[in-house]
Amino acid sequence: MCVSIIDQLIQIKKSADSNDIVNMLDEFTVYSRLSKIPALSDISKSPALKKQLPLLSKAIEGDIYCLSLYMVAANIIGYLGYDIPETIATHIDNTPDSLKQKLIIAQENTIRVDYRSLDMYQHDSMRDTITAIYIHKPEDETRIVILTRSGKQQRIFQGSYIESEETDDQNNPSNVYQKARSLRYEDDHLRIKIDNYSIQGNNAYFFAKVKINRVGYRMMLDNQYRLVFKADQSASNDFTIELDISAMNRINMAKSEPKEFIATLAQIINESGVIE
Amino acid sequence: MKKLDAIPHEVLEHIQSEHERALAKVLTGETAIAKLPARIVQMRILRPNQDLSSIETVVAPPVHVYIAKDRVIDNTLLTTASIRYVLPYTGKPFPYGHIFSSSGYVCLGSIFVPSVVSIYNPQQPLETLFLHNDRNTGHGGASITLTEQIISDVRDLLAHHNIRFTSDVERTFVSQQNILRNDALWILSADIVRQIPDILVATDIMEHIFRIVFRATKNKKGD
Repeated sequence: MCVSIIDQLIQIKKSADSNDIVNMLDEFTVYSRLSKIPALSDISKSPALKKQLPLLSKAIEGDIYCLSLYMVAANIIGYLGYDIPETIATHIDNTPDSLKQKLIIAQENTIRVDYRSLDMYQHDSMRDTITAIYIHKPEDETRIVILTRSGKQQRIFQGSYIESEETDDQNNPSNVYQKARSLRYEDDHLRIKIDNYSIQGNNAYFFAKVKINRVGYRMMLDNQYRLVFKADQSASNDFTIELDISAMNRINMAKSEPKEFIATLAQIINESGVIE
Repeated sequence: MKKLDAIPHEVLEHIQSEHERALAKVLTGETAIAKLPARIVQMRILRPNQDLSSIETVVAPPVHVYIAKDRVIDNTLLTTASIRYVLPYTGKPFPYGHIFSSSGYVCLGSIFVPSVVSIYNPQQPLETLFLHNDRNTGHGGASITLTEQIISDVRDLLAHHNIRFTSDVERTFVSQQNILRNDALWILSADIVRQIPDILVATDIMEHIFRIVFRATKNKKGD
């Protein structure tokens, strides 16, 4: 059946409120895994794959809407640093010119995606609009893509940063306090970094970053006289250190002097036996 | 390719600071020196039909602490007068007695707040106000008012968590009045902390309530 561009655009408009960009990305993820099996490497030759990956298979067949979704998804995949499976890339590269022309019209009129830099993302006001988050960490770099939707407006926030302990520019006078404002402690097996804490003792929030035996944790001092450690990575275990009255008194005595405060915390962690 | 349900803490911290650096550079010449999440604090509150106030454990809303770039003394101290407290949900001044509702600076009034604090303790003046909490909104003009819709949304949230409105909350958490004057939000918070032993869970529930209360306030006509 021959479907006109107008019919296709109407169909696309009807679908425009869906989460099909995310669905297409999900299908990419599934296909990347399955395509390693030789019998499943080519969607066009596998009825089972066509059923499981409807958007991707329609894109290969030349469906304008799915091709538009593919272009957006491919951009995200490429930005994150992943490869598009070769079998798919070959199919798409072979798209006839007449279809490519329709594709341009479809993208301009229906897939309303607005690309933004990650530093324009504001979590407090946008967290409820998030539809998907993708993060890839090739070596020291962290690449992030956040997809949001507000009504028909879809936004893609993209950005990356290099992991570094010392990110403050010491030569920049406007950043003069940046370095100073981090309290730091370091010995062979323990590192602590504190940007702020409550001198009144309201420290039941993750006010410190700690590295113990090279494993990262966030640390808080709760109202049950415990130091609570939450691991940065799910592979590591969270744990707590119960504080006796002596330890609490030492912390209370030290809290008005920031350097003594962090040194006392380090001493208590060292004494607790959690460091191998 | 891995899809995540939430932005990891360390990534969020980085991108938030990127955003704020960009904003500060362009708009204000200020920098956020601390971004404190919703957390339990000690606060003086007065319950209905009580003559005396008492210090209780409550959950305070998150706060961003801003300072002007040139207000750091010897890289280690801040003058209280240079600190501005902002509610992150709205980007507006933190609503509390003795905090100017127009700017977020501390209105000292008759409460003793140290004039200089360490840059590691920028929340000290605000938490000093929590301990004194005299409900005097004449100093600074702060205000929080509720609508019936907000109250209904908070009730629904609490019902979902099997938490009841206590009689003190029933009496104070009402619409069309400035609830900073009757400690309604803090009484609600203290009663949730009493009912939920896990402070992280209690804090998370209160964080949802703050979002209901303050986002709705922000969206009020004319606000």
